[in-house]
Amino acid sequence: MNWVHPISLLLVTWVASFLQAAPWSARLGLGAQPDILPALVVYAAFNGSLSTTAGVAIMAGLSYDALSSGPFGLTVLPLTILGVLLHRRRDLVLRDSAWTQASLGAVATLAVTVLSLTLLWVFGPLVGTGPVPAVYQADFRLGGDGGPDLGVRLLWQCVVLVTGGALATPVVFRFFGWIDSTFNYRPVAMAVNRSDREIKRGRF
Amino acid sequence: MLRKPHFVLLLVVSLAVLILLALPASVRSKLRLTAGGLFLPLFGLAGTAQAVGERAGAALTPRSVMASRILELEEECRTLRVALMESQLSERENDRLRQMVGFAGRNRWKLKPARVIGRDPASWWQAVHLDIGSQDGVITNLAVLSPEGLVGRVAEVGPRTCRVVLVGDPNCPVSAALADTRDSGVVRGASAGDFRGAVVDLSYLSRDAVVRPGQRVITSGQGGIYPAGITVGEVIDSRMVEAGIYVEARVRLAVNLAGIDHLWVKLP
Repeated sequence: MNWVHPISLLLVTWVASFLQAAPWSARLGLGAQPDILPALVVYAAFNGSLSTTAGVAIMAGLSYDALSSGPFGLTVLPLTILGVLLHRRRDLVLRDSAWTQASLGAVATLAVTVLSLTLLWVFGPLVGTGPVPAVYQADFRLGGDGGPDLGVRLLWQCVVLVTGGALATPVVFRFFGWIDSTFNYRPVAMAVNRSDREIKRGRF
Repeated sequence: MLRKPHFVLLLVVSLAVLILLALPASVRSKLRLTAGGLFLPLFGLAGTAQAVGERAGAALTPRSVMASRILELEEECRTLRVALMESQLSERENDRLRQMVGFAGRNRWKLKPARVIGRDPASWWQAVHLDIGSQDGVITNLAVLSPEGLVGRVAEVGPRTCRVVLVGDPNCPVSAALADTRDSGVVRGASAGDFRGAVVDLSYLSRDAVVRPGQRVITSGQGGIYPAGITVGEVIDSRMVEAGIYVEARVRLAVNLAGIDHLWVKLP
């Protein structure tokens, strides 16, 4: 079995999670951070096995949550749902078209964002934000409910996320296409002459 | 419909996530720090690359520019020394007066410098990662400052790194007051119409509070985390909310949160 593909996918997921949290990230200029992890899950779902897709989704979710303020492990679920659904329907999609890849990237990023925020609203108040001093809790109750703010700002963040996802997905496909062609062995081409396809001619 | 392996996978992952979320907050925090530890090599690599870049930049800077910069810094240093002398005189006088009146002495701030090594990857949370942790004496809920004013509080501490939630994050409300009138309220979440988190709301001000644009907002010291008197920002405008029950002011933060790189953690 060739391990280049799944290992390179997991490695890129790890590095991508870090780059999204890097202090010089695009967030400084845009006010919102583009998310390329759904693009990686889309690629894994279309080109990897079910276990590779699940591995990438789990790795991406845990890496993202390890560096984020959200509840640890929550992002795993939207990414896994996305990966499983796409893997199930991958034979029905024209995955080689850049336009399809971009559209899928945009929709996948939006779906993951909406699912993540929904889960945050559902589970955020239940799981809380960790122990805080008693005096501070009064402020906390007044100040917020542990969930993210919604409004025009979130709308802008969604625009940045969706655009980022749409741009990143074809790039991810091209990048892994290059990895695949550089490091993977090519399947042996089938011989042109096949004895079972020969036309048997008679005497005339 | 989903095939059996797809369905089983989704079921297993959903259950695992639910179990993870049901764990006590302290356990989840430890798990997060452990998973975050996997990124330490990359943070270290990025720090080294940045240092190399800075050294390369310094090596490329002409000597004349360096010399004029040194002169500027020496001048600034002399001015700051005079200001420090004046401040020490005031401090001594303050201590003497406190003794005479019988007030308790003030605690000196112990500040630990730190470098920002990462940011929250989710756009809807405002947090940064610093390169100091429990090995440096950092614990949770310490105030984090910059020379311009309040930055946030320490939310989670690992051995070598810590996560700081910034002012404006839903998880970082701050007890604050108007510097001149001492009307107090709570600084919380990012205000509408601001994309970069530079504007926050000062809510729950008394309906009789006199709020004017340009007024300085400072920490009130009532929350128990932030010492009183740290600059938060200045008022942009205000309005009555909840049918006139209280006043809410928009405050422009003194610190440019998008540009922070070196911060100070106030140790206990």
